[in-house]
Amino acid sequence: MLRKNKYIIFILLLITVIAFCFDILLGSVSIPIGEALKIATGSTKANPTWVTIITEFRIPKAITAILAGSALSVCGLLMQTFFRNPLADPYVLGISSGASLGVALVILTTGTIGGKLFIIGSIIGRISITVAAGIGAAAVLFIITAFSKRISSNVTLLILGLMLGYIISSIESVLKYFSAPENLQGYIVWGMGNFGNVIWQDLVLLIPVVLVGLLSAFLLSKQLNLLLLGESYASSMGANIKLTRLLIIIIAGILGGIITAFCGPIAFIGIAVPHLTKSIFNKYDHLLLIPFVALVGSGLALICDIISQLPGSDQVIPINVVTSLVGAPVVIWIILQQKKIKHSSFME
Amino acid sequence: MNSQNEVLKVNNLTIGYKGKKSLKNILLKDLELPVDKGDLICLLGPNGSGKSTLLRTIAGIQRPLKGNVLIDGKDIFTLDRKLLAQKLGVVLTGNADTANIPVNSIVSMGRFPYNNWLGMMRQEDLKKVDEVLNITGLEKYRNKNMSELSDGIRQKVMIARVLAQDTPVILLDEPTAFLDIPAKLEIMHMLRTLVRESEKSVILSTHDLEMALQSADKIWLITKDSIVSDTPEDLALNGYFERTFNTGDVEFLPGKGIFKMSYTGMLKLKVTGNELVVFWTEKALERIGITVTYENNYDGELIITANNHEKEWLLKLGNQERMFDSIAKLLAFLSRSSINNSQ
Repeated sequence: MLRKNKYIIFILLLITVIAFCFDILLGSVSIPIGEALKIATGSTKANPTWVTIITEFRIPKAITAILAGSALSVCGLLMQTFFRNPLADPYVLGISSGASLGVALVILTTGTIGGKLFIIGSIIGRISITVAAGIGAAAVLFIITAFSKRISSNVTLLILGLMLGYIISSIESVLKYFSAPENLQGYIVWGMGNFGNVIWQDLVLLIPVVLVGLLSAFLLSKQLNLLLLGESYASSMGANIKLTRLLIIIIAGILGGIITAFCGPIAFIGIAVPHLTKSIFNKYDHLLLIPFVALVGSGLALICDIISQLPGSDQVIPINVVTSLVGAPVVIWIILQQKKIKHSSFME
Repeated sequence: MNSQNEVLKVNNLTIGYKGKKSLKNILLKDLELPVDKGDLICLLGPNGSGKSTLLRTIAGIQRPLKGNVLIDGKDIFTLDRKLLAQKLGVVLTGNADTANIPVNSIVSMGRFPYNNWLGMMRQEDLKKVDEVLNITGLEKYRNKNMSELSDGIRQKVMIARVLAQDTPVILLDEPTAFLDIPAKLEIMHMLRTLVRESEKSVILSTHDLEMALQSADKIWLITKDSIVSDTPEDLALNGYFERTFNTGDVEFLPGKGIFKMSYTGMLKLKVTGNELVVFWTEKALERIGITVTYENNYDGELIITANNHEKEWLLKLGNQERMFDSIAKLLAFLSRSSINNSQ
């Protein structure tokens, strides 16, 4: 069993490393592989434009894809275990809605000039979007944690998160309705997700936050395992449910919130990767699942990013289009697969 | 009663649910129930009388409205949760949704109150899991996923998990519901053996009075808003079961220790013959509303002759005499004639 898993881990690591390299080598500007490798390994003798593209744009983007993939996938796993619902994802608590509202307020309420700023992607525009999204996500997280102390049922909490999402998106609709077309375009572009907006300075914040979030999730493994049998059983086996709840919500909120703030809402990674990982490893233990999920999430996010660059063309499609096109079939395939397993075991 | 042996005490406990404002929905009040080491206690009571609530309260999952529960003299609601989990284990009612977890892992969860904050299994934890899988006979299923197993085996796995938790007190909420009779008996036998051999105290709720009468050291019988605690035999002799369970349609037979659906039969038959065949014939007759009597005041007579090869039922009713070679034919005839009678 373990040996088989070791091979799988090795293959997954290999895929991730290769995907990371391809993500740097491929893009809308075609750079010869030899040159690209030289630049990536620190040579500055090459074409200065290419150097800038690779060191300032593609490498941070690839790192962001890894961070986003692992953070959203682990966040999705936490939510699925916590709510004992296979359809839960990083956004069920309404955190991405909060981020979206923050961004909507910034982009849609500034004048036309502001709108143009955001489309072009100026530094001020970029920073204010990230901060607004972060504040929006944090506000929702705060509301949810405040309620979670009073609400004992997870289902109620789930419904609360969903309803909060509806309220927020209706406010957004009002904002959209009254805003200028240029601004609307900026907002829609943000909503399609993008790993490429992150620069080195952002990574200084993004890397430690995601790593701490992932590590904290890992340290909760035992509690998460207990929760697989439900809260009553978990409590009967010594888990402190109130504290565990609060920690899960905060960790998931921070992981989901910070990625949404920097990359926009990224669809399907958070829901698909935990299922995909479980079907590869057939493991329940979070002590193993969390690192595996982070690995699979990183790899999948990189692959989606490569596809979104449409290698060989100078066009780019939004990352969310790719994650949905890859993620939805994965979820469908897994669900059908599971059904098959159940049926065959009935036949025996 | 020897207080040296007492492991758990339900102390002046009132349970139920807090309603709106000051209204309380009290299920059971002022309960005083001691639990001794090595007791197998069956909690009996009608649906909705508070069996699950009581067990959940004793387990510390739900707060009482008043009073407390002491384990080794300490209040379970102030005791550290991990420490409590080393003293008291629970199997809840219904199937936990455990779809794709292997048996081995579920049982290992029982060791979580003992191992470190990451839940790493130590040598002694693994040994305990092996031991439990062995005594519950689940060894061969250890790598199977829960979704591949039958209800009975799944329930056994949940019980194995609580055994791995190795607590002096074990609570089980309807552990034999939804199981067929052999699986039911097997689980009760397992618990009975456990209590005898390891001096654990087991409290379980059940609907099955006959099974409780067979296996319990003590019965906690829910009557209205309180609980009577006594040996099953004393409760039966003092008429508690009739008072609690008798409705118009069902009655408890203290002489046999079973329940019976009570029909008011119009026809009274005297049945004689081979004891075993009489027993089953009687059951069949009662089902269609015919009373079997051993007194001399009867409407007809049924004489059974049976040997290894064939059985015959001779029915003498009024001036008629008829012979049947199976209970089915006998019943068919009697049903028809009783319809004729009532017309």
